[in-house]
Amino acid sequence: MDFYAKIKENRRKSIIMLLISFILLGGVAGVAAAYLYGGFEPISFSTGAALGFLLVGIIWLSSTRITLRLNHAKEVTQEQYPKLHNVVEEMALAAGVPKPRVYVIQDPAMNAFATGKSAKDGHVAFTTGLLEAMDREQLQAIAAHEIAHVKNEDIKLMTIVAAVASAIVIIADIASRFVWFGGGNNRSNNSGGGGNPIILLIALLAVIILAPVASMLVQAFISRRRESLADYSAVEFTRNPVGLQRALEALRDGGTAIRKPHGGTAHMWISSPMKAEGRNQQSFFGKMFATHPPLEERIEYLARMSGNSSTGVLEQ
Amino acid sequence: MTIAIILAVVALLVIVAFVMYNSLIKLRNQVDEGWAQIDVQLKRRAELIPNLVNTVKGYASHEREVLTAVTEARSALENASAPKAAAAADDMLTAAVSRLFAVAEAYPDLKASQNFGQLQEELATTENKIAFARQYYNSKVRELNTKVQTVPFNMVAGVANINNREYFEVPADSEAREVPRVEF
Repeated sequence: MDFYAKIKENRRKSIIMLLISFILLGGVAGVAAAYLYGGFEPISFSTGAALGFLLVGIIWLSSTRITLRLNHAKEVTQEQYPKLHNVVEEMALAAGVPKPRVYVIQDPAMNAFATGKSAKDGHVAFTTGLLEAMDREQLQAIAAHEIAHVKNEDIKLMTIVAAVASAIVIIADIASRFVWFGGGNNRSNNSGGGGNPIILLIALLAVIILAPVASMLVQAFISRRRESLADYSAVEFTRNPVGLQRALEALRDGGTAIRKPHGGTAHMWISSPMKAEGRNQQSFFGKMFATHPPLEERIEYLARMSGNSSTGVLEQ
Repeated sequence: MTIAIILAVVALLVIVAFVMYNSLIKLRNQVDEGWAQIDVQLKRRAELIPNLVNTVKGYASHEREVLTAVTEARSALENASAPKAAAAADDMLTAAVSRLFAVAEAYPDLKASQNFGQLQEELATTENKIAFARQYYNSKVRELNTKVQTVPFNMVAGVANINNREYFEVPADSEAREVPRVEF
C-alpha cells in the first residue's frame, strides 16, 4: 500500500471512529435525559442529546487553552529560544502551514505535543529535557512530526475527540449521581407512554459504565493511527528518515514519562507521557487502550524506510 | 422530458467545470504563496550578506576574491526575479558563502567573534528555510502542471488561461550546477 492510500485509509477510519464517538455521546446524554424525564420519548432523548452536543461545543472552545495549561506549557519568544523557533519555522515552510506558536515545558523527560483548533491555529510544545538532549537533526524530526499533526488536521480531530470524551465522562458522572441519590421523576411515572423504569435504569447503568470505556477506546484508536501517519508525513517534510529514527531512539532511551502527566491529554504527545503505557503494551487490553504504537515498532518502520531505495520507502 | 434531461446534463457539466476551475485556482494560489515564502527568505538572506562581508573584512580584508564573489552573487540574486534565474543565483550564492566560511576557518579570531557565530546560525537557518520552501513550492508546481497538462483539467485550464509554472531549480545542464562545492 502506498503512502497516499495509507493517508486516505487512516482518514476514513478516523472519521468512522469520530462518528462512533458522536453516537456514543448522543446515546449517553439521551439515555440520561430519558431517565430523568421518566420515559423514552423522542423529546426527552433528543433534548438530552442536544444538551450533550452543546457541552461538547463549550469544552471545545476552551480546549487549546486548557490543554496548554494542564501541561504547564509556557509560550516562548524567538529571542529566548532562537534555534527552536528557527527549526519550527523551517518545518512550517516545508509543510506549507503558517508557523505555529511555540511553547516550552519545564520537565526533564523528553516529549512534545501539538494542539489547536485548526491548521491555521497551531500550537507546538517541547519539554526542556528534549531541547537539551537533542541535536538539530533530531529536533527537526520532532518538529516535523508535530507540524505534521497540525498540517494533517489531527489537532482539529483530536481536539474534537477529546472534547467528546470529556463530555461523556461529565455526563456519566452527573447521571450516576442521580442514580445513587435519586432524582428525576421516574418514580411518579406520569409521562404517559414512558418506558419501564427498571429497563431505563439498566440502560442508564450500562451507558454510565460502558460509554466512558468505549470513548477511551475510540480516542486511543484514533491517536495510534494518527501517530504513525504523522511519522510518515514528518519524513515527507524532512526527507530524512534517519533523523526521525534517531530522535525516536533518543525518546526510547531517555524516557518520555513527564512528572505530572494528565491522562486526558496523553494522546496528544509524540510518545506516551504516562509511566505505565510502555509496560502494558504486551497484553491485548494494554494494546487496545494504548494511545501510541510502541516506539520500537515506529523505529523499526523508519529503519526499514531508510534501508531501502527512495522510491520504495513508503511501501510496506 | 428530453429537454429536461439535456438541461440536467448541461447543469451537471457546468458544476463539474466550476469544481475543476476552483481546484486549479486553489493550487495556483498555493504556488503563489509558496513563491512568496521563498522570496521572503531570499530577501532575508540578501540582507544578511553585507553584514557577513563586513564582519569578515574586519579580520581578513585581503581575502578579496572570495568577498567579491559573495557580493557579486548577492547582486545577481537581487536582480533575478523569475524562479529559474533566482534558483541559479541562489545556488551561486550558496557556493560563494560556503567558500567564505571555509576561508574563515583560517582566522581563529574571526571564528571566535560572537557576531560571526550569530551570523552563521542565521545564514544556516535561512538556507534551510529556502530549501524547505523550495521543496514545498516545487511539489505544488508539479501538482499544478500535471493538472494543467492532463485531461480533463487541461480544457478548463485552457479556457481560464491558467498556465504551467516554472520550477525553482537549476536545469541540469546549466553552468551554475558546476560551481565547485567546498566541504568544511
